[in-house]
Amino acid sequence: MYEIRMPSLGADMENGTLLEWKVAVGDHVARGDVVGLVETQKATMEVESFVDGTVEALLVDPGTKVSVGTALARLRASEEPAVAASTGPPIAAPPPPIVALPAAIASPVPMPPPTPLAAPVASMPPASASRVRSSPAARKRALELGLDLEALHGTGPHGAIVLRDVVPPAPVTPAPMPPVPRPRPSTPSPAAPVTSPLRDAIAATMSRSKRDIPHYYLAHSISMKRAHAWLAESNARRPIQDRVLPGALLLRAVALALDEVPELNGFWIDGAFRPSEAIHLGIAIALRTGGLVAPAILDADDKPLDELMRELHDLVSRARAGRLRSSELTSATITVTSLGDRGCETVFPIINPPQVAIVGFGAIVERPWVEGTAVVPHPTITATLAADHRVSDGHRGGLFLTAVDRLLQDPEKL
Amino acid sequence: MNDLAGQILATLHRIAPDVDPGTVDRTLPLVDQLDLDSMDYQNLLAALSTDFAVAIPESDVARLRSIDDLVSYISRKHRAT
Repeated sequence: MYEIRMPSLGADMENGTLLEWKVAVGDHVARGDVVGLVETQKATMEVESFVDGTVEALLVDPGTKVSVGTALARLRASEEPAVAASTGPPIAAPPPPIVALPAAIASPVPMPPPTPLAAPVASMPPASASRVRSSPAARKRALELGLDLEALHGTGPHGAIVLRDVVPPAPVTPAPMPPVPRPRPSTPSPAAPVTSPLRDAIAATMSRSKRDIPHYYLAHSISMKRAHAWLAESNARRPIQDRVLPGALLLRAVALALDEVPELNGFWIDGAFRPSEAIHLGIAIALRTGGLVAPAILDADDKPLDELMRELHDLVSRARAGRLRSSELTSATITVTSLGDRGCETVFPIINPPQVAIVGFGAIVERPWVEGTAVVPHPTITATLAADHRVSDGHRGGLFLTAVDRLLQDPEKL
Repeated sequence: MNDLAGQILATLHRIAPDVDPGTVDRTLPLVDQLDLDSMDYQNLLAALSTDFAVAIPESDVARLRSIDDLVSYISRKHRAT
C-alpha cells in the first residue's frame, strides 16, 4: 500500500491545496502518471504517482487545504494483492502518523494490518521500505528530510540512491522581479493584503540564504558576436519549430563549464559540501502572475544543444500552464537565472539554498568591444556568479566564468 | 481577417494561458504589452507556423511583432499559395 502525500517544495512550505483529481478510485496508474493538481505557495504543480498501482481511495476533496505530508490518496501497488474490502468488516486502518514522514511525497506504508496500526512508519520492515536501491546513510538522511527515496534520482552504483542524491527540495530562486500582488481567491489572506504566500516564501528563503551563506560575487563581460552569428546562420537552415535561442547556448556552456569547476555544483548540508556528480540545471522562470519557479533540466551536461532547447521550451510552456511536476521542482543542483531580452545588463543573484552557487545572465546588449586596435560594437552579455565561500573562492569562480566565455566563443562545438 | 486574429489569439492563449486575450491591443508589440519572454515568443511563432501551415523563416521573425503584423503576414502567405 502506498500513499501519495502533499509534497513539500521547501522547508518554508507548510501546506497546499488539492485543486483537482486526475484519477478516480479503481483507476490504474503507472509510475510517473499525474494523479492530481496541487496549489502551493510556490506554484501550481502536478503530483505524480511513484509506483505502478491502482487507486484505492482518494482521501482529500478538491479545494481542501492540508498540511505538508498529509495523505492525499491511497494506492495498491501492482504486485500487491487486492484488499478484501468487499466481505467482512471494514478494515480499520487509520492513516499513518504523518509526523513520522512530514514531507514525503509518496511513501510506502505497511499493508493494512490485522490489528490497528500502531507502529510509526519509520519503524517499518526494511523489505517494504526499500523498493529502490539506496545506501543506509541516504535512507537516514531521506527520513530526516522527510523525502521519499522513490522520488529521488540515484547516481550511485546501478542507479542506487546515495547520500549525495538526498537533497532537500529546492525552493524558488531569486531574481529581480517587481512585486506583483497575486489575487488568490482560493486562499484568501485578509490579514496580509499586500503580500502573497509566494512572496512570503521567496522572502523566507532569501533571508535564510543571505543569513547563512557567505556569498561572493563575480561578473564577466562576454562577447556574443560569434554566438549570434552562428545562431543566425544555423537558424536560417531550420524550421521555426527547431530554432535555437541564445538561452539554450548559455545553458549548454554553463553545464560544460561546471564539469571543469565541480565545486559549484551540489549542496551544503549539515555543515559540509555534498558535491553532485549529476548536473541538474534549475531554470529560474518568472511567472507573470507573480514570483518565479525554478524547475530543473536533468543531466544538462549530457544533453546536446537541440535537446536542451526542446526541454527549455517544454519547461517554460508547462510553467506557464501550471503543469510542472513536483519532482522537477526539487532536483536542481545549481540555478541559472537569465533576465532575457527585456531585462537590464547585470543581475546579482542570491543562492538558492542548499545549493552553493547561482549563475546569472543579463540581457544581450550592443557595447563597444576592443578588437585588436579597433573599438567596434559587439553584442555582449554580462555573466555573473554568486557562490558560497564555504565551498569555493573567487579564483575558482573566476575560472568558471572564463570557461563559460571560452565555450561561447566556439558555439559550433556546443 | 477578424476571424484570423481570433485564431491567432487562441493560439496565444494556448502557449500563455496566463494572458487574457481580451486585453490584447492588436497594434502594439505583443512582447512588450504582455511581458512575453523570448521563449514565449518562440513558442508562439512555432505554434502559429504549425496551426496555419506557414513556414516562418528566421529572416522574418524580427518584423512579426503585433497581432496585426501576424494577421497580414499569415494572410499574405496564404494568398501566395
